[in-house]
Amino acid sequence: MSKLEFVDLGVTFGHGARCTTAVAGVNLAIPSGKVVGLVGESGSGKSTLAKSAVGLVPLSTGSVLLDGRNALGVVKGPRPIQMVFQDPSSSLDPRMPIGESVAESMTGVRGRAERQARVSDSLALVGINPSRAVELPRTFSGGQKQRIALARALAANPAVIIADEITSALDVSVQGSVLNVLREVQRRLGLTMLFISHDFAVIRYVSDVIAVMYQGQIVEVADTELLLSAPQHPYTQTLLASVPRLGGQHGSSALAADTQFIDAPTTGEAGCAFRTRCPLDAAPQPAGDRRLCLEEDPQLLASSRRHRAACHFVTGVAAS
Amino acid sequence: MTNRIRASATGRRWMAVFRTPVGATGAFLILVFLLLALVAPLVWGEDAARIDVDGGPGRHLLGTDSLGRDILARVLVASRLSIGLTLLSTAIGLTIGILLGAAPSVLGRHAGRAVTASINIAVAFPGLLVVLFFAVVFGVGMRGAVLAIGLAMAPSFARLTQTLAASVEGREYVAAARVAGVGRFRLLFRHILPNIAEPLVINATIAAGGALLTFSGLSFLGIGVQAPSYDWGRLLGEGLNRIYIDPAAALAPGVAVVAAGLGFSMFGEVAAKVLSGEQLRPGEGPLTASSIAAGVAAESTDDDDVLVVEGLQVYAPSGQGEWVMPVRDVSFHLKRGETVGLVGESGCGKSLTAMAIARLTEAPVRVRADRLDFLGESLLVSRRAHRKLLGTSLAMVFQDPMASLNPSKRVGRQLAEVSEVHNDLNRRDAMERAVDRLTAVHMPRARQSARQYPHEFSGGMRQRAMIGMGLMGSPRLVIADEPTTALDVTVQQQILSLFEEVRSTQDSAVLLISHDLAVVEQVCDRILVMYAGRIVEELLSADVGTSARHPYTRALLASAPHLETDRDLPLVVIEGSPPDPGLVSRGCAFAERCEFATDRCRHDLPELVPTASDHRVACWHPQTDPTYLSRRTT
Repeated sequence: MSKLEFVDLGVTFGHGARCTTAVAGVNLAIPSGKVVGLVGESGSGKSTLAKSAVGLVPLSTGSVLLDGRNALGVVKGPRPIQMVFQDPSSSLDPRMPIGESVAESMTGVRGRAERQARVSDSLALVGINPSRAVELPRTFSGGQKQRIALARALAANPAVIIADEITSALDVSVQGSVLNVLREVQRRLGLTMLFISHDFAVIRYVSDVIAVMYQGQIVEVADTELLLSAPQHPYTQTLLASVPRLGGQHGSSALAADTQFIDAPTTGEAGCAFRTRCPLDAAPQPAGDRRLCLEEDPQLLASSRRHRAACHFVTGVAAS
Repeated sequence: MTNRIRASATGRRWMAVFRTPVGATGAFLILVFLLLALVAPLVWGEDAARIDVDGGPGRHLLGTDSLGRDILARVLVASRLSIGLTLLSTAIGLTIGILLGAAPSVLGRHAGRAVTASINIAVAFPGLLVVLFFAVVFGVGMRGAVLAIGLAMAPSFARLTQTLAASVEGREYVAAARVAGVGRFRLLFRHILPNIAEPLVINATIAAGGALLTFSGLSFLGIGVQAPSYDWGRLLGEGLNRIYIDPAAALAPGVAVVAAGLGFSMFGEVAAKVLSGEQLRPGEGPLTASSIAAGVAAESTDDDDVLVVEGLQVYAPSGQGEWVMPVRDVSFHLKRGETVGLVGESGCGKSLTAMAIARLTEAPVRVRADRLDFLGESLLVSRRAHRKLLGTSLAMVFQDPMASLNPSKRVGRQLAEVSEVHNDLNRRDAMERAVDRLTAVHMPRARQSARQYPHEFSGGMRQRAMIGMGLMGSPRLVIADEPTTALDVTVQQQILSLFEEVRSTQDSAVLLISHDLAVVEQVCDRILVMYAGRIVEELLSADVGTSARHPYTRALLASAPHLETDRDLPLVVIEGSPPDPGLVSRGCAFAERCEFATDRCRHDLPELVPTASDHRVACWHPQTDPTYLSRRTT
């Protein structure tokens, strides 16, 4: 049993006037053995959140808990939370044979033979021929390298895996080879996983629960099918509507005249972070007074709304 | 086996150093002097010490010194001390430098900062001053000089090590090793040092040349090697007194110092260039019509054709110095107001095709074509003649707008420049047009935005600015190379809509290159599928979902997950990867990854032939089963 929790987590970079907030007050729990998908645009703080869990960026507020205990306290030896990075060609040491890279994260290994056996096991688990353990990363294709990176993370016997955009550097033709292996291993070992991607189709395929992030905050969380069938937050709705679909409409008619969209972010002000881009502005007023969006932070009452949506105009009450 | 693989890869790169004339000369000089340092005292040791009082002419090639000892022998013998002490002091400098430079990676934050600061201070002192200072501190003599030079070299090595280490530390594999629980020292020895060793060795070689000069200088001044030992510097000092009587006595050791010093520097410089990936290659030839005209009767030119490409080939040198052909025989045409997509995996030649059409390939890449007509004019003649045509009628949009906008210029100025150069507008009018065009691409607050720098823009705004720049002329063709790959989905939609708007308002043709079939299908009228440098299928986007014929197209479509993908089944994967441009087989390049491949596919190249109007396929076994999109196999 290993549950990962982000409690009121905040990360800021820089000092004083140049200080930027990458993650602000994130509360997110990943139940044991489940996959939570984190989706959002670039710069929304997805990767920062991931790095905070493995101690690669310092927290400014809050904590990361593994089964209720501080996950960042363990310093010696392999960490129980392992991470797979975006670009496999830079996350494997170009001068180290892949077997050695995989062996680096193992602990409690006695002797050469056991070490080799465990490296072979890890490689076989991700579908890489163990006899190639002595080769350097450059002799492998992108998809194979990413599976080797996964094998390295698995060799540490982690309780939690964090996968940060692990297929965005790969061609769609081989993306499946990584995702298939990841899903199979996750199910077989009952791993807890945080899966980050900007691609809704990929997130949907892998995750049990989806969390949507916008400007450092989680704006909606729900079970995958629920979130896709009934998105509550206007940002989630916009995101879903923008996903290009194969076999849908084609040619010029498919594109709505949505070019006036202002992509200027708002930060450090009161009110809703999404308000300048909010399509509700254009729509007939759903309910209540839109001045709320300017004055009140929708995060405050988020947990009482459906899907924990950070929007004043989400109706309905949180399901238990 | 591990070592062999490592050695072969590194060895190939070092061999490239020896293949350059300068590198080979440097290596030869170093080798000669190293050999001399080893054997000279054994062979000529006695000659150098024997005093020949009545040294007649001819018995000594370069004459004798004031005591009657053979100068040539003494210069040769002196190479052991000169080279040996140089290497020793370089080794001392390098060792101390690496220890100091690597310390911040291992020490805590505060101790690390202290070390860094002291290195920075030490680097600020002039090297020669430090040498003289230490030479005095350690006392006059050989040992003092070696230590002095070694210590004086240390700060620059330390700085270099520290900078290199810091850059390696930023890489993901170091972060990955940290997460894996690798300790600080292990991280340093296993990950950081091996990856910075090459530049360190190269710099040490160059520095050795400098150390040799400094050492000779110290000996020349009398604070280096002391009698009865001698090195080149001391021989030079002795010879200089008699330079008017016997020039060889001073010149011979001087020549030795220069030759050895040059050897080290030349070798180091070339190694640095070659190993850092800088290419030393001949320039580009002109764009030429393919010599094999292949009897392609030029299709009758349609007035609607904006672009006609026939038999386009692109040649590029591979890493091993051979020429490969990443684009092999591409033919297609674009009509007015048409949007055509070019899709395929990375490395299949999409971008090169676009660059070749826009005449943007750089030396040493070479382009050939049977026909390359833009607006009825052939681009197969010199580049200069078409600069204006391409500048005003062709717009190019790249994946990374930050890299294609000049970061030091205001966006409005960059756009205005296009019109100043190509349309002879004055500064004010050009700026007005820039603002007008920024408005056309729906840039929020266009007039203010024109005064901003690219870094003040978001990714979507930068891409709008790039498109706006293309609109400064009146583009008849827009080539967009992965224009939305770096953008978020919501912004992607806006940019795609913008292309659509440009197409409909300007009646331009759009060539959209993308790896994302869903995007291409949504936006384009026609789709070209590329594999290993060839177009393997051309079809209408309306047919993509139902009647794609080529197994590659079908597999590519089936492999893309979408919002209706069955979550209980594994995703479709195309096993293997596209062939390296140097290793493309005689037959169909896709055969080795294709489930329908037969012997014929492996031996005979399928031509791109029409199967219906608006549909061309290059396959011996085109598939017709219409259910490929929902088919799920592994």
